[in-house]
Amino acid sequence: MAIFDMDIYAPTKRALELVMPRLTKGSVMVFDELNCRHSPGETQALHEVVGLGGLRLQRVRNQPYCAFAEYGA
Amino acid sequence: MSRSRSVGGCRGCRGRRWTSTHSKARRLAGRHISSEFTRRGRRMTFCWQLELCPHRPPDGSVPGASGFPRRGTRVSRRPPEHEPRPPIPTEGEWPMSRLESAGGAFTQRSTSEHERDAELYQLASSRLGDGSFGVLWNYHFSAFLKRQVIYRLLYQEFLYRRIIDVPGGDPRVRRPLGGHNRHPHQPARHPRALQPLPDDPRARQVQRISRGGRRGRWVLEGRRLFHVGRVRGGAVQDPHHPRVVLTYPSDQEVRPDQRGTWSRRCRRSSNGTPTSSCPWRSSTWTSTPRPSALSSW
Repeated sequence: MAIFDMDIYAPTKRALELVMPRLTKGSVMVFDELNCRHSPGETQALHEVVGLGGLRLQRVRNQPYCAFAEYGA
Repeated sequence: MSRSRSVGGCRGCRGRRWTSTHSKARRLAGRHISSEFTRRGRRMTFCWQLELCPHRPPDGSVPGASGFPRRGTRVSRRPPEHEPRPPIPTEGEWPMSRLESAGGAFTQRSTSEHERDAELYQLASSRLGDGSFGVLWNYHFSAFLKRQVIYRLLYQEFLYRRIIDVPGGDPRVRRPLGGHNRHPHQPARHPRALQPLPDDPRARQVQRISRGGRRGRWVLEGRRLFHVGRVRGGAVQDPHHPRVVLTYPSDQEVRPDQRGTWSRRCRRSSNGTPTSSCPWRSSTWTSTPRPSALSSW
């Protein structure tokens, strides 16, 4: 499980590039400000590195800006 | 039924007398008036349902003396017509315009939540001043003052429960704002440190080691600079395994990530010869360093 909570573009992208080769099928990627209008960089970095089309993002109640996805699921 | 036999009058308007208006209403729409037999006679009930009842309660009120609606009674929960409904907020007006802190930073707490937190803080402070809850309570309860703290705990508990049985690292790339609740779910001490891959160049980077002093030396490994201290001989207790007592040879260099590893395998005296208490006396002294975690992130 990898938790990304940096809110901005550059460090999120760098961390994603480092973490992506280490993910296995079923790894959980957690984003703290995904689809948040105040922090669009995190979503942009995820879109550029991973691609939003290949992830099944999920969200829980009471955490409106948090999202997680299982890699390879 | 005669008026003299009725007891209690109109039940919808308790305490009122049975008036001629009620009798008129009963004649006009008697089927809407139910009745029940009591010891003292027949009792008229629910006449307030008639429009002609002068004591008809206002809309939305609950009939009956107990305060609960009767079976089959419809109680209107719609607000009265004269109360205007609040306008529907549009995008960018509410609540987003209120989710701004005093410093202008983004926050997920609304203005009303700020006010309630301040009020709760005042209440808590007054109780803390009294000291009536005890030391432990005063120390621990403040974490649950915030709504989002509880939600975050539940959220992380939900996430970590998904990876209890999954091996691997657990990098948390975030601002250093505090801990997390991972450890309660890992009683078996699962290793969650990221180990470098075999083809990772950082695993083969040459160490540039400074000249060691009496108290240790500095080691630069990749972008990570750490101090290798010299541990004096003696026995210390392993903080992770309270039953294990680690014995270090005198003046042995121990890196932070290797502390307690060598001495648990072999106990040696200060001159390098195995002692009699060493269970692996025949084994050679190997100081293969473990690959360091990628803490340079």
